[in-house]
Amino acid sequence: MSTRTTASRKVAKGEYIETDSGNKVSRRANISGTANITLGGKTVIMADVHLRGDLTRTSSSSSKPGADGKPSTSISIGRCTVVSTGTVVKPPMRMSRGVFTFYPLKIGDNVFIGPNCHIQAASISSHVHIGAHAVLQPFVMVRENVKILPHSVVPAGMIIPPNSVVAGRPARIVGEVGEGWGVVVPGGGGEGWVEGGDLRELVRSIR
Amino acid sequence: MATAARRPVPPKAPTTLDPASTVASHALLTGPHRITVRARAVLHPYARIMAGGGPVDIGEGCIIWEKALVGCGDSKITEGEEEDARGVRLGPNVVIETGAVVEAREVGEGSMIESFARVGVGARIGKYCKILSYANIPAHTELPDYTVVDGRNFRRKDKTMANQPLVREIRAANHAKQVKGLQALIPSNLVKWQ
Repeated sequence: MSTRTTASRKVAKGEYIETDSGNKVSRRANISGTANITLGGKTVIMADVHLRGDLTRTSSSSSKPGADGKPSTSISIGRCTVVSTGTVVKPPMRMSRGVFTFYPLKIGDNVFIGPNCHIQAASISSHVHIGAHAVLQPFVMVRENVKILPHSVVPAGMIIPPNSVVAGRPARIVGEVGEGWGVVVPGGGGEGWVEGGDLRELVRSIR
Repeated sequence: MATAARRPVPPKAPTTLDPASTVASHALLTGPHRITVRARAVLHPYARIMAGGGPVDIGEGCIIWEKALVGCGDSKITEGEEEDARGVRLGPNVVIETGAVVEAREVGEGSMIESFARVGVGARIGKYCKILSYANIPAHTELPDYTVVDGRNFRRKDKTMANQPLVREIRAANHAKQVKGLQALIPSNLVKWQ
């Protein structure tokens, strides 16, 4: 009986916490180091997403003595981006001047990241669609209008040029996204959004 | 609080934690058997160690990333198996990436298990092996030292690593620095698990 009442109260509360800028962050998302994460607005973070904002650039006191104590952004996500359930987003790590440090991870606007992905890229540009179970290994750079098919493993350091389709283990460029990538066909049905297009409608529908 | 109400809290395992190890407070150490974490090991938040079918031993300088699972969750023992047959022993400097599941009997020194790879029950992984993303090692497999298994489960031998002791030394030095970098970032909460 008591469990039922708590459950109904949870439903009344809602799955997502909406911020002033319209970001929707699930109550069940595992976010660490919130001070080092910026969300651009109208961005959705679903349940069970791990955002590792605590993995920041370790201030090497020899190079920048003035930068100490100031929180640096380790994950920045743009507008209308959707991060689906079970995905882990963490900044990439490598050796620099004899110490291991994390580098900031930047994700652009209108990016869709499917469920259960592992993202350790250096940058992901706008209008990118990443399928389910994809792995982006450290320092991958993804340019605009790219489609990464499900179950791909993009090897470390790969730079994916604009307008390409990528798949496989290890991932290779298998094609190009044609004309009309991300363009909603009028009267074509659907919910008013397509892969690589404006995800505003999708973000609006998630509540 | 909400999660505690939803599902029962699994029992805390008896642990032996080295004071020089780093165990994040959100890491999960459960099961009826003993979990040993040796010096300089790093357990990230939401890493899961389950000593369900035998003791788990995390070697020196191991790094276990979030959502990785080491050990067997269930304590079921099949016929003819020893009591502790489902324990896991990780050698020094083993890296287990996000989402990997390691139920192996033993993982040798300096091996790397990448994201979402699975290593079955009773497998023995040699030294300096690399199990790449989404590779699947069936139960009771024995992998020789320096083996690389890729996502299509093709195997090859890493001859550079095998023939050049210097490469292994550099790798170990590199790993030590990586551990140092992580120790500075991840707050350790050993008291919670002692």
